[in-house]
Amino acid sequence: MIQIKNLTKSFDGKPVLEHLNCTIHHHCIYGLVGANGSGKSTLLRLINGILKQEEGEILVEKESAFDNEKIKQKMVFVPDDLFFYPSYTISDMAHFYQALYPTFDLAYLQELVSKLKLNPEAKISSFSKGMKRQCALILALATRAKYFFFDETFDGLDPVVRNFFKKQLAKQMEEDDITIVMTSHNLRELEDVCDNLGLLYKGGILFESDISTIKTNMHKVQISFSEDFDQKKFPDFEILSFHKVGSVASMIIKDSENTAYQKLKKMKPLILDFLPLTLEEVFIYEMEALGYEFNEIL
Amino acid sequence: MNLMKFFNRNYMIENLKKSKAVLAFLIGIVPIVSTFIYFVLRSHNNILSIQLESISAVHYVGIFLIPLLLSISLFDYVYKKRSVDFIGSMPLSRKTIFITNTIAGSLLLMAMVLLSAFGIWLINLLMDFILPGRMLLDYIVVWTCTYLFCFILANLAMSISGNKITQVIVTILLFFLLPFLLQFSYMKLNPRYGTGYYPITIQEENQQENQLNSYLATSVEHLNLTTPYRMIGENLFGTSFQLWDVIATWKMVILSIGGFFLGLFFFQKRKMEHNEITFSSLRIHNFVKTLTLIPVAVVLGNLAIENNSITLKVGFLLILLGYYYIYDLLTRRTLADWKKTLIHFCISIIFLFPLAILLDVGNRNNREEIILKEDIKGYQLSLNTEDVNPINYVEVQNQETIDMITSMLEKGNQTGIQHQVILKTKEKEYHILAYWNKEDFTKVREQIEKTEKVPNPNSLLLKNKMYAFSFSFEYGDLEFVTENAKIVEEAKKSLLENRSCDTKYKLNQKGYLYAYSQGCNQAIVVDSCTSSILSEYVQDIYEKESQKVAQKLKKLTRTQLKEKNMTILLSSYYMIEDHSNIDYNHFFSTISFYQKEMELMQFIRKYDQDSFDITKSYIGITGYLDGKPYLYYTNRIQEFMDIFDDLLEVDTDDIN
Repeated sequence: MIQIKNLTKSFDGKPVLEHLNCTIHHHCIYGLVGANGSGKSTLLRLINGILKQEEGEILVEKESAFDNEKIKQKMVFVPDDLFFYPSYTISDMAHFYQALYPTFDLAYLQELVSKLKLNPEAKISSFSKGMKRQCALILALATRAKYFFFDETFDGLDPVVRNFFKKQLAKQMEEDDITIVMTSHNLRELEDVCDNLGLLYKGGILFESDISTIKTNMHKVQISFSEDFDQKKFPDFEILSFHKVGSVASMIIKDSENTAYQKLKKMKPLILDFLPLTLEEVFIYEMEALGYEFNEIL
Repeated sequence: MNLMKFFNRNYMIENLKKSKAVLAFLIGIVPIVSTFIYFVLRSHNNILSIQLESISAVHYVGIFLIPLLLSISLFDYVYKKRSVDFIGSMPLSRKTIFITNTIAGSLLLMAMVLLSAFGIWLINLLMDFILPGRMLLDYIVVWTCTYLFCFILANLAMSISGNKITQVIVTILLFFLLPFLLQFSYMKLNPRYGTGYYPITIQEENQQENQLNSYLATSVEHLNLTTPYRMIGENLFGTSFQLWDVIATWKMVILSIGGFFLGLFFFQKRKMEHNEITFSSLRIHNFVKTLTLIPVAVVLGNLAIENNSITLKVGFLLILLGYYYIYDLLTRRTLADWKKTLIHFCISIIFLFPLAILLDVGNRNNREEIILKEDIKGYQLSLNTEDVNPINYVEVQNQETIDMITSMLEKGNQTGIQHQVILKTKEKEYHILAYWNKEDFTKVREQIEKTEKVPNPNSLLLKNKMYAFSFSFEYGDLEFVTENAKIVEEAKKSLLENRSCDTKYKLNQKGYLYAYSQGCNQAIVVDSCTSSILSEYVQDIYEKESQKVAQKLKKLTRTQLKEKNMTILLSSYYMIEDHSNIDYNHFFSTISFYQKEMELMQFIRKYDQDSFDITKSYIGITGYLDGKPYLYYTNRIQEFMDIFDDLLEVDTDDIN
């Protein structure tokens, strides 16, 4: 478990993260979303002990990760801006990781290299941008770390490779009891992977929830009655959004699907449809409910 | 604190591997050049010219480049965001990174110094050269300490700098600024420091100043500053540089320990997000910029103070202002706000200008210094007029003798032989150049012999381990050196027992006994005829080597004889049958050899095919072609002298 308490970090006097609190539970995939410059990368760099916070604490397995080699051996970070030593091949980089990660699995790396059809003896500098990202990912996966941190890592990968890595991560989730934290400014990237999502805004986590709950408790309903109606017709529902075009109203309600269906059915509507919500829509409505304009945030 | 706990061998190997080519070049170039320089130096010079300083030539440059480049190479990741993320996320603490890299760099530097020493040792082994083992040990100690000191300062600079150029600037400041200020401050307090010889007068208190009895003297003051600074600073300010300085070496060791912990502290506190800029704070950037100006401002400020030209002063200010903007452009790759820079510049100048006046070296006191008689605590001088080695000087502590020497010095310089007298007061030592006539000096010597314990003139030097004995066939390049313990011991005994020459040994050769002490390679003259063992050794070499040497000398000449434009000079010495050297310089000093050049060439060509026996009487002739000397030796002394007969007669007449 990663606990972040009252975290504050500023650059040149300008606060990037302010009194941020967050808990990333064990064995989950935590998605961190936020606009550019919202502090996603900074948060990951702080968790990984690259930077030092001005205030607050970050605990990984109840220990501070900063300068803690024992804890850091369980963590691996793939930054947005990748780095490889000049003239190094995948094999050379693997030796580097192997020297520092006692759990490094060279056989697994070779398996991944072979599956992705990468040349382990070719210089990484000669690889394309996407191939470099694949290198970084396979090196990270081969560390067999317990905590993975991916900073917009999957952005820019082609769908086939992206799926390949998602499958590998899922496999490792099953086998090794790992925790993954990944950031993106694109909600769709995280929707089908993450268990939990946090929205970073103005230096703090504005909104945090687990995806399964968020999706099962929020519904888009299309409804119509024989008589004219407005929002007041539904006093028993928590309505996040209500739009009516002609005699058909679209509304977002917060309730379990079954309960809501039963309750609405009793009102004898002419049309009653429950439509699936995208994660983006869930976020939009949650933000609106909190009084924020989603487009300003993300 | 167990620092080795933070040493990560795996990381060290991987970090060295990633820049193996650069590191191999950095660490390999110094030993290669050093070995080559030593080979060239030793091939063309005799054993005495090999000093700790001369075998260290390559390090004078290396010391300012290698540690700095090594530090940059090992810690370069801190200067790029991408590499900071990469290394920072690895399971390594900052302490581990710093300690591991410091140990790695130190090991490489030690290996480099050891390899350089090995190269010198190997050349000695292959070429049969001799070098005192102690000198090689001192070489290793001095250069290891100096390189590590520079490397640790470079690491300290890295800990606080945001980019490579700033690290270079901060390292230079750490190397030079503090010792520069210390030396300048000392110079201000001691105006004669580094001025060389200046006049002094010895007189009683309240006595009127008397310009007539002044001497030229120099006070010997060593500030024992760290070696990288001394290498430049001591030469810059006129004090002599000696590499072997125990206090300076200890200072470097202590400062290295301090610098290491300070570097570690700053590295742990370092804000890793501040890379690719000079410093996290603009104030620190401006402060460092001002510090870099101190030496420039002091020098330019002094010039401006001495010169009344307003144009010059304004010119200096404009140069400094230009430097301010260029500095920003170089270190931050951007021009700072011109108004702010201008304001900061004005503030800096307000601080720097008084400093320049304070450290005004242009107006140094070269006036006569008065030493009061009461302050004189003692003297040191040699009873041997030829001896200039202070280590052999007699210590004078008897008050009566002190007063006698003082009264002689009070008289002022006389005509006569120059003596170097060391005058000691409570605070200082003055090396005085005194000219005394023979009579006065005899009086002084008799008084000293009466009142002081006069040691064997070489006894102090002989306390050191003597490591070699050598003699040569007139010319330095025909030197024969031996480390044979029996010969060396015999030569030492001969000197200690003050043995005189035994006439039964016909062949006397002036030999040298070598000692190495405190960074100095020294030699004492010893005559071979003072010992049967030495005489036999010399005789043996003569017999074995003479024909070889003679052939070598003749060969050189034969090649050159074909040249018509060869300038002929007579060599300084010639050998007659009783094998004692006669100085021929005075004999021929008034004769122009150029007048006899043709005759000499004819003489050489005529007898060119003669066999030459070095064990018999001979005369040496030096021919110069394109500035290079070529030697010709002949046993035909009478025929040679006949060439000069008429000139000698004319010359004698002229003199009469």
